[in-house]
Amino acid sequence: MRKISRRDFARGLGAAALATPFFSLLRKAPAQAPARRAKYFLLFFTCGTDTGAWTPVGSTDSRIQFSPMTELLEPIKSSLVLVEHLSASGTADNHAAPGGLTGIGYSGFNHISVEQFIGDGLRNLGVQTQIPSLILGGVESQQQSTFWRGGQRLSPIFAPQAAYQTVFAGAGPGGSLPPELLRRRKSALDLVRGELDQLSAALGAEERQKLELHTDSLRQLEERLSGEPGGGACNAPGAPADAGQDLLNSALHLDVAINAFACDITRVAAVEFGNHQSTQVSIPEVGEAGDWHNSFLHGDNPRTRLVNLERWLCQQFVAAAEKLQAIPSPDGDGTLYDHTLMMWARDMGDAVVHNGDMRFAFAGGAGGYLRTSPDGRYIDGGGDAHQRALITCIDAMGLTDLGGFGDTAAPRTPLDTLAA
Amino acid sequence: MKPTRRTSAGAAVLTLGLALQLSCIGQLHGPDGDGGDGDGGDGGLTPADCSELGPPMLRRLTSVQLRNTLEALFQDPNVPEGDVLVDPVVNGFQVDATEAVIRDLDAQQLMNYAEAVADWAVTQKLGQLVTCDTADAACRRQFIADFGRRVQRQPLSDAAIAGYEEMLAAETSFADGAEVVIATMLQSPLFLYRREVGEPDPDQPGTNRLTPYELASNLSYTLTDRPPDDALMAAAQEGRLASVADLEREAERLLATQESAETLAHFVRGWLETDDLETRAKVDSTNQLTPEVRTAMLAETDAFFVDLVRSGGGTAELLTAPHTYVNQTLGNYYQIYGVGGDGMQRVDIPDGTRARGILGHGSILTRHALSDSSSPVQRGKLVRERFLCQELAPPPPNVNPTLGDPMGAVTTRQRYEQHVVDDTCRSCHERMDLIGFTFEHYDGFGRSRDQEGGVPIDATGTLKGTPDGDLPIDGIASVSEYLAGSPQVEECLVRYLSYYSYGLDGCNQEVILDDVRASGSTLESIVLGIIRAPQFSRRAVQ
Repeated sequence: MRKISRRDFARGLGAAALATPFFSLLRKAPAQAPARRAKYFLLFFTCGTDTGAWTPVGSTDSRIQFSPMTELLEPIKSSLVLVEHLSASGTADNHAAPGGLTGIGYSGFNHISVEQFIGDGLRNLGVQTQIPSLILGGVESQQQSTFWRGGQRLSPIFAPQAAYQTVFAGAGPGGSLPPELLRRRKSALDLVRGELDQLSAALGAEERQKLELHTDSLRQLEERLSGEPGGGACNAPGAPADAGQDLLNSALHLDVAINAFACDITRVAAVEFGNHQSTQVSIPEVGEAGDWHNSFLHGDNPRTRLVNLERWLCQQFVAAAEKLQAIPSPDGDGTLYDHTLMMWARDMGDAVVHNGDMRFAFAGGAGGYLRTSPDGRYIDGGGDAHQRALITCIDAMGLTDLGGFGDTAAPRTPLDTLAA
Repeated sequence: MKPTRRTSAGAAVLTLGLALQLSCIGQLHGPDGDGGDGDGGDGGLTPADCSELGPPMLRRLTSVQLRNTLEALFQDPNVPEGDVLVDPVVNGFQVDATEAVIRDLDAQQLMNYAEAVADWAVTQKLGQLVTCDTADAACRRQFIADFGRRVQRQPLSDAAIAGYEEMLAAETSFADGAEVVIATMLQSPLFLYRREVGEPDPDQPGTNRLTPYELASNLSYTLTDRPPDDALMAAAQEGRLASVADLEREAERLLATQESAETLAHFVRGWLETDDLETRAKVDSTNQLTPEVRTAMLAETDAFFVDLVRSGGGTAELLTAPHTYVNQTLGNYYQIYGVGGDGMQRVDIPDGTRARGILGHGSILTRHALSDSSSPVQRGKLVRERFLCQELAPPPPNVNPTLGDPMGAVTTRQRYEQHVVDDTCRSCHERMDLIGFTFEHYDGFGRSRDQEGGVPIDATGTLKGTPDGDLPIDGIASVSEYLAGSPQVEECLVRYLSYYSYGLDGCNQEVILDDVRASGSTLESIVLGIIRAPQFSRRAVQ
């Protein structure tokens, strides 16, 4: 099948090279060292924090001296890099600001968040998974999404059951479906597409854009229906039950995302924990129930509940890493974790005082991309552009064309301290 | 700063009222805006300019409308649930005509859901949907035409019927064919979008007039979040939705229904940002704020607002009415005794119990508070933003808004007074906190109080920047009295209710306001003014 061979081709020669013309690729390939690239990208996304409490004081490039807020990341320290003091330069200095994942502020154009950009880039490289990218979680009445595409905010799939249905049920690849069902679906989609075309004709250009999005969505579905089952020897998990609380649901979404990797249904997933100013938290180990924004960030003094919540988030991050470690890679080469780059990113830097002094955590085998240390690594970004952290993820996934991503006036290279 | 895409519409509204020249009063949709959208510049979908007349457009059903539509279609509340169609929150509501789209994985989710509903329908409802002999081709055609008409909310074209006949004929049994037809119809854009396209109006070149069926849908979804009922469909078919008087007649009929009450309640919860009251984290050491109390608080405000719409009330009554609605649970909570049962009943507010008007409602006071205390900031912000349409800019970067614990502070007010003493905070917080202080007779759970920590409540404050300068105020009643006499409140309600109806901000604002003032300035006249305005029934052709 074309996509498998193309994927293997990419791994063998360095996927970045596939962006170049075919013949030049053949000429250059033998001279290049095997690329160290991640195959999966898992974005763990949360609200901004109290940066002072987060800072692992005394850490070095070869050892993390964890703060109480971050110390529950310790079990994965040998594959963990903490980065702080990256500047969002005014693009991410408030709750749910657009710059956190796009590098572009409110006055910019054509925002696209990093996970969308990577999903698109992989498709351009010929990686035809059933779903280009998944965004999951958030809160039920998402106030202000921080995921973007084409200058528009995207809504994560909120309900775990809906995420499960979308990933594992129903639309599965055509090759796995009864022919009769496939015929009916294609017949239905043909009719729907025809109606969309008719409706478009009556609309002006701006309104037609809406229907173009709908048409693209149908195209994505048709591609999935036309495809073959993924390469992963996976067991689709059982459908999750609603956990009754936004953050607990996000933890369930991590499982959906990881299993989607295991089944090679997607290579790119983002899970959002909390959103903007509307997240209610009622988790016993965090403390008394409260509002993440009003109580934990701007109410409590000291911010004990915020520290506890961040510790709980660390546990979720580690749990995801450990699940990835327990699942063999679909291609039989090590575990999923060995090939995954995890990034913990935020909508803003310090959420207490509202600034763009950004913090990140990187983890995972990342196909050997990430430079690690047995006791963890800590990097002081020294005010460097935070979009370099985002671009590092793009680079780690083997994408070299940054066209359309981020702020073109800001530095546009990966953080050289992160790569092996 | 580059204007964001909604600024022009918002600015138009501001010109209707008093545009305060306040440094902390930002554009209506600035980069943060608690509950606002903060669109993030251009490049995405752009809301249509409807200050005079918007273009032909489609509006995707909201998730609420989708659910209601399916229940109406099958006349059954047990239609399978489906977590499809996320409605982005814009302006505090989930009705935005621009942001609500079908994209990315939505088509997959809709297909899965449509198939699940079709499977359920054929198993449970086929006998209800088809009563003729399905071996007969005319019967099958009738099924497609009848069901299709209700799905699409307009008669199907012959070509569309033929397409579905072909689809049905490809299956070996009628049940299988019906299942495929139903699943397909439920994925159709003619089902999923409300159409506001229209046909060229020969009397007004350059404009379209919405078709009678489009008007029927517009009326029913605007006023009831449901598809047109049989009476509306008949009126459309028989040419009885042609005039403004026709629209008014049907609107008044719909406004009397329970379904319309639900839609008005949905509006009021979005407007006052109380919709999530039932799930807000609250730490009430007395355990009095039970789930039943929270539910009753919302029901109080719903009933109060709906009653005012139906009884000719205006903004003055909204803010100062001497009555409210309680059931036994809420009555006891408010210490208004003598009401039994779970149903909400109208009661006069005894002197000395609660503040009159909507600002005294537990829903507002409890929602606009912290988990364990009141919040003068949130309450003042509510008044500025949702009653006066003055949106406040977010705190500037690198300013810590967390209050310290001043020596000797006992009351909430004493803590928050730091905001208006501190030079950095004062310029904005005096616009909010000095209003919020007047709500201090009510704690963070909506309970009346005379003291906090043994210190008598001081509910004095200042309303900064009014047309008459800075006004001293004391207690909620003084704020309500000011607002009741302010034309800005009516203008602000026109803005929010028209946005809620049209899904676009700033449509026909002056026209609607003139109409409202010529019609007695009632809340009902705002609803009817929106329906009488050009944006409701006409479109500019590009």
